[in-house]
Amino acid sequence: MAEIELREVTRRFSGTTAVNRASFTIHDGEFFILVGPSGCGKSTLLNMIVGLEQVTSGEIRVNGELVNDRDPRERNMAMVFQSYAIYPHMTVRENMAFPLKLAKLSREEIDRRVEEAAVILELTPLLDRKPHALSGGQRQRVAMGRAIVREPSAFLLDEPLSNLDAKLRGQMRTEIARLQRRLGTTTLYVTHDQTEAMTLGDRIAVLRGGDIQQIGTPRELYERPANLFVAGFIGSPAMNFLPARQAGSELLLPLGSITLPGENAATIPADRELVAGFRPEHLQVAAGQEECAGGLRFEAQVELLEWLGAELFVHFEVNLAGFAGIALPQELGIESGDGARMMAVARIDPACGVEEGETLALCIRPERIQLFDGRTGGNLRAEGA
Amino acid sequence: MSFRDSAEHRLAWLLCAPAVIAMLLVTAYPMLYSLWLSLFRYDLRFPDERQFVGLHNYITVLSAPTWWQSLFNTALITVGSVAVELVLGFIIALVMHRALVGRRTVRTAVLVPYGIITVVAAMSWRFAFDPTTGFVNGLLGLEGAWLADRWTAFAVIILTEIWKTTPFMALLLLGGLTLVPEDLLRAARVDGANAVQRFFRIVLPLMRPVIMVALLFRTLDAFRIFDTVFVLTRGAQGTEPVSVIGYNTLITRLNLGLGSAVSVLIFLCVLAIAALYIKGFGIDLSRREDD
Amino acid sequence: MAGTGSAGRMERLFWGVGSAIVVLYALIPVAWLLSLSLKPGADLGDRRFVPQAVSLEHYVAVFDDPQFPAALWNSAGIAGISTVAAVLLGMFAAYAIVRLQFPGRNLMLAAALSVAMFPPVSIIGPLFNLWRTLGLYDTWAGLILPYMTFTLPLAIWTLAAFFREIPWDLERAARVDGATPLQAFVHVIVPLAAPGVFTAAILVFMFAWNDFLFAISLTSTSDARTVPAAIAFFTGSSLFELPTGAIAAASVVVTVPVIIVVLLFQRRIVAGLTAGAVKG
Repeated sequence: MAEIELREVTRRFSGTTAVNRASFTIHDGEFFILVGPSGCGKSTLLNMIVGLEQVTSGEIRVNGELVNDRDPRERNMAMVFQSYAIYPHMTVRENMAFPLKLAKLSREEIDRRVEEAAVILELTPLLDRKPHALSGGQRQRVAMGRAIVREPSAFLLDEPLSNLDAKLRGQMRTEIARLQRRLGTTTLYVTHDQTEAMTLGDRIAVLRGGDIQQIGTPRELYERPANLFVAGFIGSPAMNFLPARQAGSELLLPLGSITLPGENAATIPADRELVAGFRPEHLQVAAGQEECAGGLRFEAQVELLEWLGAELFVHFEVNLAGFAGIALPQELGIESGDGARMMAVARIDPACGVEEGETLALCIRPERIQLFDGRTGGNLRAEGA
Repeated sequence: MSFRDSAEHRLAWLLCAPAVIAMLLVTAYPMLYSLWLSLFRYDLRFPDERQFVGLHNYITVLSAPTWWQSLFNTALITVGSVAVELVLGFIIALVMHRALVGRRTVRTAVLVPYGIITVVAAMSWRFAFDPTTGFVNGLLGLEGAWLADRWTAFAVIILTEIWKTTPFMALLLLGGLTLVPEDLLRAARVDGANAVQRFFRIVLPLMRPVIMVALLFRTLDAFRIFDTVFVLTRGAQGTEPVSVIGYNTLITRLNLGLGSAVSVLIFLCVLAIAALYIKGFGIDLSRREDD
Repeated sequence: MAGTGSAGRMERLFWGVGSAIVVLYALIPVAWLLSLSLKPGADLGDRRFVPQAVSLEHYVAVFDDPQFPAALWNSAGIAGISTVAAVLLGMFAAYAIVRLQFPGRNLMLAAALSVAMFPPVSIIGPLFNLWRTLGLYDTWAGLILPYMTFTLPLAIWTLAAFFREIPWDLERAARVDGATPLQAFVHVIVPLAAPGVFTAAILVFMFAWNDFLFAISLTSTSDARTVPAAIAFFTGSSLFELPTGAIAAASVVVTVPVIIVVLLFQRRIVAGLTAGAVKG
């Protein structure tokens, strides 16, 4: 069992800073996620924790002990690599037994642990096969088997599902969650997929360009994102962003104006560039004004419909007349439009019979609008953010 | 730079050291010694008459028609064999690339010239072109002694060289061929390019780096030719290339002074060729890194 | 790629004929040597490609003469030891080049390149003189040293190319699993590198076995004379005529193992050559 603490951990090499002063604590038994776009430093952070990469400055402590200079083999952590890294010249059984042989465990103990892990991961019929005769999903399970036989103090997983096809990925996600619950081992999981992060994590750390953006439970990240990046990264489909302006007690949007609850109006300077964000799932169909009392009701011209059976996504254009275009973080991959128009998405009940080209009246409630500083990206409405 | 990084550096140098030492010891040191010897008049048959003569040996060599003739010979052999090898090698590479039937046999057959001892190959062709016992004259109904006349001797030398080294060229080019993505060729086909156009406009340009490296090494190899000529003519009939002159001066005539001057000049020529290729044609030899 | 029906058959025929021509091209000299070696002495001058009668007298003569078996022994020993040395040193260097970051890595590759481009004729003079002074003239060691040097670039390139193919994540996984760097090397890397090392050894051996210039410059007797030198200077009963039959027989004896090795390992050899030259 292990509590892993990072204090101002930094990794720099040849002029670039891969990880910048990361500080957080992973509690014993917690399933902790590191998530972010490629190049954000999450894998580097993982490698530093397991000891495969040097720490430029800062401290890594496991159960209070400083481990910065310890070799990986002395940290009692098991790692599952993105490429699985299972030894091609050994059978499944030999792969799983390898770390135990190195630890000089008795023959009986090795066999017992391997059999047990094989049962948990449903690998028993495959024990005598070699990796080249296994499917991707089976190889992934062998990599996990090799990790759990060690009964380590922590599991480190580096994007273990990214090489699997979508369906298998969903299945394995549930398997991993169940496994972790069962074993109770501290787990650190790296991924670029926010769905995996949200479904698996007890707590999530969002990284961007080497900096930690926010650490919190999935709910906290969803409901109170610390900045524009986190807001746009978490949640699928992504949050809608529009330029906004504060005028007195009213918030002006290209869609119309809305009154925000009073306590914030005073704290926002009038001439600041703002970005308003609201999630597709928080837009509601409002046939009449009375269905949108206190909120902002607007007409949307339906450009594109995506019907998925259980959901209906409506894509519409927003005319930005009178508002300056906004620059969104590149890694989010959201189109910021051509400066005159932006696309937005609404998620509504598929029972609604709207067609492409028709107009739809939608409503957004003030408590569902997130407000961000146009320059810094910071969340202006979150308490203590 | 942290402790671990510098430990890595030390380990790396430790691992490379034996190889580097071995390589430099047997090339750099003797080369410098060669340079030194070239400044003396030093004949091993009269070791006591050794004396310092400065650059006199170089003047002797550079004013000797034999030297320039040998340079010409070497150039002729080099250009002749490399040009044909390139074309023939490409043809064989294309055959190996496309051949579905008997791929294994073709590969084996192609490696035999590569694996055969050069001396053996040269002997074989020498016997083949022998005026009285060889099958070439028998087949063509000729009586001439190929190796007795300068130009026919060159023909045999170049033929032997081509025979021996084309397979290696073919293998290098084959490796380069596999680097051309099939998708590009298919797209070109859809766009209306025929086989010839596809070859000259897509395959060749994409293979340029591989071709240049292959040419560099084949040119250097051809320039350094020794075994084939020695076995076929011993350098007689005016076919002596530079390395045979070097050998004859140093080992046969035991003239270390003059021979060393020849050695240094040959070294400079090789340097010049390499520089020409690397700087002139812009070969990127550092592409060998991909991490 | 190949079409169906008659167009496909035409293409297959074309490439089939092409392959046959290539095979013929490669084997003519070998076949000719075989033919000469089997012709009885009297028929050697008949200019025919295929012998009319077959005789093994030349093979007998070649093995009776002590020159040839001595040369075989010298070649095998010298090339063998040079190969072991070059592959060993090459392995260390290749590992460092592929796996480690260090300044001077480019220098290392430049050194290997320079040696590969070096003209051996330029150093036979000094080596000849040096070896005579050091007592290395006409000895195995006298040839092993230059052979090792000149085969190192080939060894390093081929081994580096193969080492690059090994997924190095495996080494990291082994370290995380609890292995010391040595254990990781022995249990994980060595089994995966073995085929590459084997191929490199084959290529290096062929290279060393083939050398002629050093062999004739730095040796003079059957103490260290190798096969290429022996064949080139084969003296028969007559001082003026080359013992064609004997030379042909010796050549065949020396070529047959090459053909066998090439037959058995052609895939590996081609992989080694192209990997070393193209990707290396």
